[in-house]
Amino acid sequence: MGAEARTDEDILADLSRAAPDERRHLADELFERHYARVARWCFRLTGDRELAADVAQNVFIKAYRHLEDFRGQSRFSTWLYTIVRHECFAQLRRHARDPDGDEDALVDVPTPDDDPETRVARASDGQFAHQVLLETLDATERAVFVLHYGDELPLDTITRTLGLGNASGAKAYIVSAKRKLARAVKRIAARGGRL
Amino acid sequence: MTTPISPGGGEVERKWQQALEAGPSCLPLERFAGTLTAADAAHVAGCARCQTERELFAAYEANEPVEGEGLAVEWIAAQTKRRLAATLPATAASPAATPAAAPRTTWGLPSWALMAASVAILVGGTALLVTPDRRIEPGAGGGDVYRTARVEITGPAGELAEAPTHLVWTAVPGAVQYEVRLSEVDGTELWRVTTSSPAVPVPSEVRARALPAKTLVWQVSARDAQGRTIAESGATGFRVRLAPGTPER
Repeated sequence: MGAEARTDEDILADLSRAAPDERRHLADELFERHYARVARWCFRLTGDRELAADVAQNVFIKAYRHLEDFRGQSRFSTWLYTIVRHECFAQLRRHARDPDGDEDALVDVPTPDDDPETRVARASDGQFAHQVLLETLDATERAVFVLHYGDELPLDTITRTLGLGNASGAKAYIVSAKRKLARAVKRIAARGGRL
Repeated sequence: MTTPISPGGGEVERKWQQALEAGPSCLPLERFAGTLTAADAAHVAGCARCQTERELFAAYEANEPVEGEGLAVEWIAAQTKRRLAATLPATAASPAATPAAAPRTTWGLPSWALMAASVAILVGGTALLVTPDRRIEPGAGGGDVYRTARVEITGPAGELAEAPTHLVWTAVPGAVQYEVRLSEVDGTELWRVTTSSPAVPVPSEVRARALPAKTLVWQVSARDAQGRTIAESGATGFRVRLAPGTPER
């Protein structure tokens, strides 16, 4: 089999059989295929070349250290993505969420009724809130909202990551999402807690 | 896992964050790589979190360049390759030879990372994230078997509030001596010391080399009474974070 035809999984199979002094070379061959993709994602998420290089380095160090944990039930690139996502998001969470720059207040998590006890319980599982998000927001607004309020990603990061090409990027979507949600919550209240 | 709330995050933001966390029914990221089962598809249809994760994963897989990022991406990739050449140990761990149960990941946290995130230790008054060097695999008798061929790093690792006062790892059975090496990411060695304890204080002159935003890497080798290396840690990085308001570069 020529080198061009070798898949990641072929290299991993060789790695599993290789002598210890051969494994580093094979790991290098495997990682070489993924440097650019990981670099691109780290750059989009961090927005900083130096920081992205640090994060990418950590990604591959962890992948290297945990190659033996890879069990072959997903593609290697998918497994690597789980590490990339974790490392990037962990890095971003170390910084405080940036303000929206939006005067509209964020509406409380919608719940299906106003009973205080039920309200607490249902707010914790978020199922109703997910329904409201899905029925109220378009796909981009919803993704921006989840990443900003769920994952604490800064708006400029979300703009880069989702490739938003409008002038104000994610900010425009978070503003419209908050307004739509506020209207939806009023509507739900008027209907006695029904969507 | 509840994410720490950002400074300034109010009660409403906290509740939204909780509502948007991945739940027990949410799909592991690996499942987005293939065709969804009917049950998975039904869950995704009602889950804003899973829909967002699926879109992020699809964007990663598509790997489409965006105008203006090319030079930065090339530089980052080259830096990563160069740094790894200098820091990774000469031998790699072997991946599993045969497919087995895949470790469940939840929103980018492989099982080992979840284990890591669950263990926060204090060394020198600094909270550190720990990444275990061992895995659990099914034993022949049905129990769990811990590999002990590696030195398990306790800390420091990751981003620190201040330079570490100690380097700490888990004792290896049969080891009588440990060699600790601290290096810059390009492999330049800053400090090397041997000790019989699974921890070593960091001298003040070495701590002074841990400048803010500068990543350092350390490793430990365990030796038996005959001086043979019987276990090694992976390369573990840490750096002291910049004071708030300090420019990154």
